[in-house]
Amino acid sequence: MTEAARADRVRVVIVGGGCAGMAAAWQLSRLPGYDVHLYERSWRLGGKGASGRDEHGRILEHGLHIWLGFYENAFRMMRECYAEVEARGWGPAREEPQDRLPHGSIDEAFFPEPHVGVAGHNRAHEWEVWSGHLPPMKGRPGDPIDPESNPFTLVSYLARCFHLIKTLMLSVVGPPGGDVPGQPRPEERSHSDEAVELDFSFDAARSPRVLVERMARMLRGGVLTTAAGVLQGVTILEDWLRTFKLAPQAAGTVFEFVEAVAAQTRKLLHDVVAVDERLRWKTELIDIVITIAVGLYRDRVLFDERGLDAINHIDYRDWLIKHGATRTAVDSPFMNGIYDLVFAYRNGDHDKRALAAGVALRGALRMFFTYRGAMFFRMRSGMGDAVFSPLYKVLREGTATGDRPARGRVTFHFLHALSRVELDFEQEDAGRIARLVFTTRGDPAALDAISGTAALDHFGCWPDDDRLFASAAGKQGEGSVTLHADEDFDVVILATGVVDFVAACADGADPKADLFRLPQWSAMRKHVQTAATKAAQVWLNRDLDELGWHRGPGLISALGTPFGTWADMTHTLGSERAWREARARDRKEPPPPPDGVRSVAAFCSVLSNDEVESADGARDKLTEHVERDLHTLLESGIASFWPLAFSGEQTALDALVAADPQQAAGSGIPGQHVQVNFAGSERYTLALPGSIGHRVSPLDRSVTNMTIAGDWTACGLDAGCVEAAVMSGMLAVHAITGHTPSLDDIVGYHHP
Amino acid sequence: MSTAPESSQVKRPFQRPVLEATGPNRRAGGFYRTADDEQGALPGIPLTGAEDAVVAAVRLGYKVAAAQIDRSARLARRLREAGERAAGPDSERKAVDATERLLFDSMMTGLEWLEGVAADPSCPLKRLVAAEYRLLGSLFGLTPGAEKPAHTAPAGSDAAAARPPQTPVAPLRIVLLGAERRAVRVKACEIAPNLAPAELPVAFYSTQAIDAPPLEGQLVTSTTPPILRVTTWQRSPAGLWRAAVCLADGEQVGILEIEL
Repeated sequence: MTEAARADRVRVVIVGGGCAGMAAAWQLSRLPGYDVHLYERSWRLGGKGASGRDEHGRILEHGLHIWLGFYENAFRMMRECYAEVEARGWGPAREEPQDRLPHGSIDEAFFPEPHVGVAGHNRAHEWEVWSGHLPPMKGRPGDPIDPESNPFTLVSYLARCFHLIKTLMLSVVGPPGGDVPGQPRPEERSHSDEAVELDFSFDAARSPRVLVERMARMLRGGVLTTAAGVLQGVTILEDWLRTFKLAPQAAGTVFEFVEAVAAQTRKLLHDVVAVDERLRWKTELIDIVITIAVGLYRDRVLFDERGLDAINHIDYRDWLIKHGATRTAVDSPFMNGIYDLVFAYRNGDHDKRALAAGVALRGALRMFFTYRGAMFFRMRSGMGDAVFSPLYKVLREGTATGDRPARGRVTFHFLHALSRVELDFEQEDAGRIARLVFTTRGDPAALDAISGTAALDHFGCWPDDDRLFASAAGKQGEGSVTLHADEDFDVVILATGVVDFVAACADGADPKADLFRLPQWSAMRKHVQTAATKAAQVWLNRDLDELGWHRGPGLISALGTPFGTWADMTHTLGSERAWREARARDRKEPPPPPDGVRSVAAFCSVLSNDEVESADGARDKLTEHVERDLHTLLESGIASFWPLAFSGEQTALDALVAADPQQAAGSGIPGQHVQVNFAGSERYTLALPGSIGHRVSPLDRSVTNMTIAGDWTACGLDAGCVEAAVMSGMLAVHAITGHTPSLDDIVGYHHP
Repeated sequence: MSTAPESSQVKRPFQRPVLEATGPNRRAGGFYRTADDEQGALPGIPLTGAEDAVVAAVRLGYKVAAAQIDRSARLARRLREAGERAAGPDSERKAVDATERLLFDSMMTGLEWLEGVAADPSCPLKRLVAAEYRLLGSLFGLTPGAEKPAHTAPAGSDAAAARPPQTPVAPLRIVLLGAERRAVRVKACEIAPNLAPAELPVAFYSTQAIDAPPLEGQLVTSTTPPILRVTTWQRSPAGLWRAAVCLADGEQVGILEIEL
């Protein structure tokens, strides 16, 4: 490359290798004229989505990772990435370790998860679990949107709404006793459900029992839906009448009529439920759905130019109550499950539930009405393995062969922690980054040499510690790197977490160089908050049936135990075993013996600020605290769900297997991993009421050679998730190029 | 600076381009589309206003109607064919009779099935029917309140709170005070049971004319039936007036509604 050609290229520095930073790198790599360098504080990519392998091949996750079927932008990136992986033939079976990846295609890496559930107490204070089978939809997330599978149409929203209601109705109604954890789900119900839900063309004459159950459900559900529809219509009519100022006498008469009908309908709902307690959860769900419909109408948000952002100042539950939901509905397991899944607790305190109503509703609409394929997708290994390993390998090497789009290389710099951003403010309201200062854990040159070649292990996975960089770290303890604007870079994408961003950009010594002197940044710092989280994985020597859980794998939330959410992760065992077999092959050793693991369970929950402070912010102390939580869960909290693990003195804690597969199960080494995420970018970004409007967009131009990316930015979705991070990365690149990707290319960015 | 990015010759400082849009277009037309095929990142035609949404809805309505008509035509054709198979192709009258019989038989089969299902003690339909009968009974006043199952509405539950109490209008003696006595009809009287005998001040507010001065009154609960003393005025607008019955500490123990 000539000097002139090099001078025309734009040098982009991306700080942070999480979803947002990698999405930005992915977008830039396909554009000609950009040199991209990515700096990451860790020895691995992934940020909050990172995972690593221990010396036994066990997958140790940062947290519980589930991808939703509406993650169009994230899945599109991964489809493009795996197209490259397939074209190169990378995969788990390759002989050469440098060509190995845990998965060779996206269908190997991701699989649909149609089952989801919530747990809650009934009026007798017994545990109940509602689990639903959510219907598959046309298309696959991330595929080009065509008229056949386009979910973003009015027709699609209506059709999916009816489809969902039908599915929920069918899946909730069942014979008494069928939903008690620990008791087998009745075969006939399961069979009937499958027949009714999935096969509407069955021969009724050959299956009279199914026909009877189906008709009974339709009748019973029909009463509820009819009543719900009347109630919804009446409530909207009431609001409409208030809008049009009728003569007092006439209006009074009409209101009386409306109130009477509404009251009678509520009574009908209540009486039916009173006769059959099993329908209570359904009416709670109907109550929420009705309230959402009425509230959306009353607040006029779908046609407001701010969209659902217009109600982001209020908590989701408060908004529902404001529009007529009952207290039991907003305290129902469904609502608890939503709050648990997004850690929606201010300061991590379970007594301070807080979720911006607009963000919650947008998430719900996207989740229920715009998913393609399945509502949830799981990964067959860790998220680091399934997502960040292939992205790293493809971006590290670039592409320029065949008919695939040319893709430039990205240069990675691991173990570079951004310590300071030095800003110049020549104008009152606009500044420039002058310098970026990094602290390195080792000799920078040696680190960079490994970053470009050997950051992954023999199976294409990230290790769970920096052992692959040990030689570089040994050369020189802590180092420093300073990058100068215009000399070393042209523009910066700060894709760290918000806590690290604030720490790096605040300049206490020189207020004139402090980014937070600008009002929008100051407000962002004040209002955008995070929460610490905890996660745990356990490897068990019994499968789910042997534990007493007969409802199959799934995702269960609102557990109400020290960990709010439980997901079965047994499907990752195959990848763990493949890792060990590949190592044995490389060492020319016999295949490893079975490790005795029959199932894997993952738990996660929020961690309160009080808990963090009580441990003095010390990772060891906090880890011990969370280990105690895990043991409490396994010794008693999970008993309602895994009853067969408890007999006599035995608890679920006794089902843990040894960590070392070479050792026999029950050797005394607990098969568990505990993760605490409380410092810097580890923390989860909250969507608090009143905070969303203070987020800063990657399109903000107050620092002319800088943009931002992360799920804490105003990225359109404004929720703490993979899709939001990817959207923000795409926005950051749009902010730099001015055209590509276009805002229309970012699926869902304009969603009301 | 010690490692990459590689330094090169000094260029003019890079500045991010000025963007046309600085945020999402959250208007309905920015996102929702019709199902019509059109090239672009998202297929469909943007709905930029309420009119577009209406047009799209009407188009959708036409499609639904057309589909229904088509389905009805197919059904009629099949019925006719069934009738012709039964009675021969040359007799339209017989075909109609046969079709009618077919429909009648279908209905009777359905009813028989329903009866059979309801007779099955383990069938959830029976519970539904029981609930419906109870509901109808309460609607027509055939089910005494005392005979309601105790578990229908736990005290204090939200479901119970959400529905208006079904207390019948209690006999209430009316005593009109003042010189401008207007006809008063009691529309609702909900008073907490076991209320200690007391004379409680009440103020009725018009539910339609917000600015109308309240009607002062007093509820005497020491008698059976209770006595409502109220002062009416000629200028008070007709319509519904509502008052809260409160104890001295403000705790609400009932609601009264009267009509002038």
